[in-house]
Amino acid sequence: MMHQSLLRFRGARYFWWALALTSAALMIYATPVGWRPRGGGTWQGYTLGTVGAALVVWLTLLGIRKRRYASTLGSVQGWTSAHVMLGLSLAVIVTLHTGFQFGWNVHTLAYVFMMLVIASGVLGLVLYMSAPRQLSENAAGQSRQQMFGELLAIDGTARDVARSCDPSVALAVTSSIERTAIGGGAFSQLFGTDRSFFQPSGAAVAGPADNKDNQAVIDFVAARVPRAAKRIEAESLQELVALLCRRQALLRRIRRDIRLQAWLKIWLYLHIPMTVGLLAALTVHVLATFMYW
Amino acid sequence: MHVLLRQLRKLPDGQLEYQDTELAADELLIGGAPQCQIQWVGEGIAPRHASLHYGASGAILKCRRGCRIRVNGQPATGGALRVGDELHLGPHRLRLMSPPSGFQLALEIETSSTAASLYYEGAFRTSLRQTWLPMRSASWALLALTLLLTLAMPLYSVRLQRAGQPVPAAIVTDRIWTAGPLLAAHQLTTAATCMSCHQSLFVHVEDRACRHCHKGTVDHVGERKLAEHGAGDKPRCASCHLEHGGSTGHLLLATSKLCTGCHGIPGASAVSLGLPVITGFAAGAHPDWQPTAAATGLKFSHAQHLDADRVRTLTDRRAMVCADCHQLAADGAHFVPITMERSCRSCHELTFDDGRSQRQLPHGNAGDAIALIQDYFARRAVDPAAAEQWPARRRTPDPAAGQRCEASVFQCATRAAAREILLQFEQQGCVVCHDVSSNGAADPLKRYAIRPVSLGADLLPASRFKHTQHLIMAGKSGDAACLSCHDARQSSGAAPSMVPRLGNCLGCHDTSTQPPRVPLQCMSCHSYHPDGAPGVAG
Repeated sequence: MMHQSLLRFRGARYFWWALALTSAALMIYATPVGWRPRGGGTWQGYTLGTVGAALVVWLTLLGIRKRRYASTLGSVQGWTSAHVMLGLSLAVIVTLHTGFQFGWNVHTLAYVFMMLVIASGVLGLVLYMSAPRQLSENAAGQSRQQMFGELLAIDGTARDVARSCDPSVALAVTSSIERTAIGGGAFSQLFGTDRSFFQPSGAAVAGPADNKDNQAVIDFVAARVPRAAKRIEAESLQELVALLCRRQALLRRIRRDIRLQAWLKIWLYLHIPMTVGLLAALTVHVLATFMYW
Repeated sequence: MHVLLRQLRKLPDGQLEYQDTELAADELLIGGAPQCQIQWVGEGIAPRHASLHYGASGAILKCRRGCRIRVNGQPATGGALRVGDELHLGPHRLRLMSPPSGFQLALEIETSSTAASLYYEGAFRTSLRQTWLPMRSASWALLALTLLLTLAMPLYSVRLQRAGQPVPAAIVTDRIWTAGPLLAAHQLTTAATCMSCHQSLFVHVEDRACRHCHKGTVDHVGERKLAEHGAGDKPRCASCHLEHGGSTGHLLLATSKLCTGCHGIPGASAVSLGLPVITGFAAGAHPDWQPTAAATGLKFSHAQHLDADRVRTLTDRRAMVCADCHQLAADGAHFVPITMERSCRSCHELTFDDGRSQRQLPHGNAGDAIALIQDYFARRAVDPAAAEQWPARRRTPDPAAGQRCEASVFQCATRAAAREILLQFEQQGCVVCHDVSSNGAADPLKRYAIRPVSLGADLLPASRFKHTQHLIMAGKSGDAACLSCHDARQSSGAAPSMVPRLGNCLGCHDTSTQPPRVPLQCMSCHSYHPDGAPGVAG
């Protein structure tokens, strides 16, 4: 399993690397600083800062490496494992580099960017640890494309069957298909909000009625079954109910798939822009240090 | 508009069947989304790909931005349609028919189901990439914003400041590069303008920036001395005085490491000047001191005065305490100088003539005392009321005084005065407390020299010590506190012998113990390169 071996890649090799790096940073921090206060201005500060900056640059290279499929410079899996472990150690190294001196300046801005990048990375790691199992359980061996293919087929059949029924049933079923909401905006994808409607003609309500989870239209059609004038109509209605129920179960799986996939990606929308912000602030931090030193 | 939709479907035997649907709608949507009246799913087909309107000139096709439909074989983004026109989108086909009466539009539609299931997801927004959430644009925006606010604007503000122009309030200045808050006084005087000190980019803060205000400050260590002792280049002010530490910062360093950096390294310049190696305040790390041993010129026994069996106060007959004579000066470090008038005379009267005189000798000038004695005896010889004024109170026999003087009155008076002067200066008067030397001259005014008294001299001038901080210590106060350092009960000699030595201070201040007891920094007792010290401003 990819998401497990990310941490345990080759006997957790990069965990030990990160631990060694963090320990080294702590040992450097613990050395006497002389009469100067602890911070970036001591030799310990410059050392930890240089290591931290080099790590930041290297960690961002993952974004380039994973897009170079022809690269033979280590596997993407190894890179990602190292990215996670060394990225976590960066929080310790750079915090020691600061000497716990913070203020309203570009130096602390770079630190805040970095901690946001690391925090969003941790969120991503947690999601990568939990989401794949839920995704595979939900998909039950089907791809997203296959699920939508099945939905299209059900929709087509349902439309055909509905056409042979009472016009009000046909309208309800057709409108429920037309007004089915899947995915949508970022919020809808992340939280699975369902703003589906259908047109229940003959009902007390004039406009479209709420059809959340495709339940209302099932109830509507099911209520017509006992009132069917002909046996053939009753059979059509029963077939429709069965189709709509299959559709409901399928829609639930599709929506859950979309939601899980959205969460699996959302942290990147913080991680990547913050990384770019970090690179900018880090550059200015280093420049400012030497411009006014 | 009223529309007739004729759906054509190919049966398995190749025959075509059609199904007509009537619609009343303002517009017909063509696309992959389920709400489209003409739902075509396929590669490259948007959820809402195009729409059909009916206007005065007939049917009008309008594609969404970036979308195309082939009209009669030609790609088009829209336009008026005529009866007979054919539209193709992917595998799907639409043809405008001549509308029957009652309809404005009649469409013959052939929908292909080939591969439709592969592309149906495209009819929905199912990925965050399709939402408003920006990743790439947010990255670029953050990059630009960060560089603008933290680099471009501050650099522009530097340029304006150098040109002497005001910096608009909306501009982020170079203060965003600050490494921390300034000392409050510097914050006030520089108006937090970075270039007050950072006068050149990529150049360390130079001493001239400091001297702009600190005009009278001399170099702590002169360049010539540094060169003589091979101690390298003169350090910058900012090498030791670190700004950006706020009010509790490190501008004035109070750490021993700054001193021991030179004084603690054998072979360093400070040590080559003949100074001892000092690495801290502990036995072996700090030399014992040598109090300036200048004699006080006074004969005084602390032990005798503190002995209740021998000395008690005149008024309440109690044993003397240190504070009876020693009063702390306002600086809390030194004491008000001991004087005869303030500290001694209340007990030690300067009477003479064995108490027959009502007068006392003046203190501080031997000549005045001798003249007063001579005047006294001359007057006593000639004054008729002398016998009553100076009643006989002889307590001890004085063979010399008891002899009858056969000479003239003046000579007799002179002899009596000479005896008294001898007594006071050589036997039991001044000589009790003072070192009196005699050159044997006949004229008593020229005969005696009294060694000058030196009290209150700073015995450890190179160090500071606050007596006020030590009036109560280790559970002791009053005389017990004084005597714990100054061994006055055993002292019968000069004051320097009572200056406590290194070991006495280490009892509380040894920095080598772990944890340190009451840690001292060098600066707790010493000034940094006081005037006159070797190497200073040379």
